[in-house]
Amino acid sequence: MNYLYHLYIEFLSKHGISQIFGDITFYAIPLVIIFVALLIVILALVLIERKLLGFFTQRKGPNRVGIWGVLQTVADAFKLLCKENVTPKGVDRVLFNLAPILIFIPIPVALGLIPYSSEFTFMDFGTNLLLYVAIATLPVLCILLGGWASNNKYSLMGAMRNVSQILAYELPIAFTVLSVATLASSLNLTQITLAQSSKYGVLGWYILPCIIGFVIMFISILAELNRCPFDLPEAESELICGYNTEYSGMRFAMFY
Amino acid sequence: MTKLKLNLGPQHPSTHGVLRLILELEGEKILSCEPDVGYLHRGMEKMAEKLSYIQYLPLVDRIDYLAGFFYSELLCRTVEKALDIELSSRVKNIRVLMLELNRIASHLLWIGAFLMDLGAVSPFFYAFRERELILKYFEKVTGQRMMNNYFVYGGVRRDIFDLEDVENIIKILPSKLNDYEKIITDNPIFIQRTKGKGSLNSDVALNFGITGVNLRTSGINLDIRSNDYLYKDIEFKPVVLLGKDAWCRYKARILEIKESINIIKQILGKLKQSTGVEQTFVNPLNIKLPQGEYYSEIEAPRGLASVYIKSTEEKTPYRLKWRTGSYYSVNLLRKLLVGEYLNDAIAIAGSLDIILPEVDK
Repeated sequence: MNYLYHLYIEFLSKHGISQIFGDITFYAIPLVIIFVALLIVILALVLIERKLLGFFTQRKGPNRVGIWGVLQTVADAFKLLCKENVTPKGVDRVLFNLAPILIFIPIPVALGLIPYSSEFTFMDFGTNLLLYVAIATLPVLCILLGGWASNNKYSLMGAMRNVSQILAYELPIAFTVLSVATLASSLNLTQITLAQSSKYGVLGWYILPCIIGFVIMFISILAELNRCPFDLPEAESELICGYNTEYSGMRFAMFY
Repeated sequence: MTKLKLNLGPQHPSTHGVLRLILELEGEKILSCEPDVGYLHRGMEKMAEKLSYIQYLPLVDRIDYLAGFFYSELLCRTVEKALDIELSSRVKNIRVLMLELNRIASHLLWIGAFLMDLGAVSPFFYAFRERELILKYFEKVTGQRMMNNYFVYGGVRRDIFDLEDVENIIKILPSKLNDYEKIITDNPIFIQRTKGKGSLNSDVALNFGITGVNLRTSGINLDIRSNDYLYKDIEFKPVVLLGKDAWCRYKARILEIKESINIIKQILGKLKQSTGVEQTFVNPLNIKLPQGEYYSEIEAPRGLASVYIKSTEEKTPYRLKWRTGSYYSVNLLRKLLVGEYLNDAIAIAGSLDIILPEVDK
């Protein structure tokens, strides 16, 4: 890390740029890179999911915008941006507008906690695993907020279902996380990652000793994300997408 | 706990059109259910009093757009009965062929829509893929995919052709049905959501006037096809199951499709032996039923359908009344949904195969 920093400052001073600029940008550049990479990954994953869903259901999937439908998600996001943000009558305006903003906060925080290399983490402190677990439950509060503020019975029911589902599946997640923490005897994500490195490569990962935990974790994550078959809170067929029924435009897109 | 009054519909994706259910909820448990119908009322019965018989014939397909053939057959049959018209055997066979293909298409759509109600999206596409084959054939023969207007008084609009398409359909369907059964029938999620849900006892079913598949799954063998004059020379076994629940209604419809395939196989053999359709010509401009009351019934995909015509020797009927299966199923929701949870309510309402144009007429 220090070596990279000195290299960067040296490079800047060679071109006559002050050190203050270097101090600021040294942390900003990787941030930008990570955000761009994240966006690309999201776009790719969404495209792959839509393509596969298309193939499963006898359809072609997106294939009009860009080659192989690559730009379809961008087009959809652009469309949602252009759409009017309707605020229905009778909603709690402050909470209704706050929920989609708050739901975006955990993402940068979680990104800051991920150890990108042994030294490069934005927030590296002794117990950042706990912060990670805590921050991962924030979306459910936002969903409850949105569902409550929407003044819609379907939204409220969807939000309530979501809360009860998260309550049910949060505990197994915490336990599986703790089992990994016990094996690494640390609550620091960097330490846990380093503890898994061995000369046997993949075989040294904690997925093998914690294989049951891995399965539990995978199922619980599906439930946390409200994906099939745990899509009760969003049940299109009965609750009309639940908590985000009243949302439109970009506010609606923020929930995804 | 306070009660919550929930308005399910009329603009709700899984009410199969425009059904409105006024539910009283405690948590997610339903305390009472009040179906409100009539959002799709088109005055089908009143229209009949203003239109001549030939003008009214194209409209009756729209009573149930998924099973249009059954209603035009019903009207044709009643008028033919009144005018003492005997159909040639080829016409009868063509009609049975179309009715059974229509029944398969209707049941396939139901399977897709029902699983969509339960949250499974892919079976919807699979069912529509097979239904498309049938609709393509309808389009070829009748010129229309859904409101076919193919049966006319005294016969059919034109002779049938390209029977190899039908052969192709009944060759493909059984394997596809096996695929559905592999995906759906023993799926643990599907079983948990449908087994034991919406249990319908035979006495309740009879009291509420339920007919068709819903009645036959509560153990009562009532299939009007058994003594229908069109099906006289055809061997078939009514599907009667004892499960009473939503899962059983699904299974029964799968079996009914298989039974329909059997019927079509027999019909195809008969149709191939004869050529050229002999029709009784009925002057469409001058259809007047003799004074009296006429009634006939048919086994439609959604239960017993019947029509009653009172004629005073005018060009239009004095009174015409339709009886459709779905109307009684909607009324049944009042009883079946009480005590169930909201997500099961959708599954139960879906399993009864309610279609709103048929309810509201």
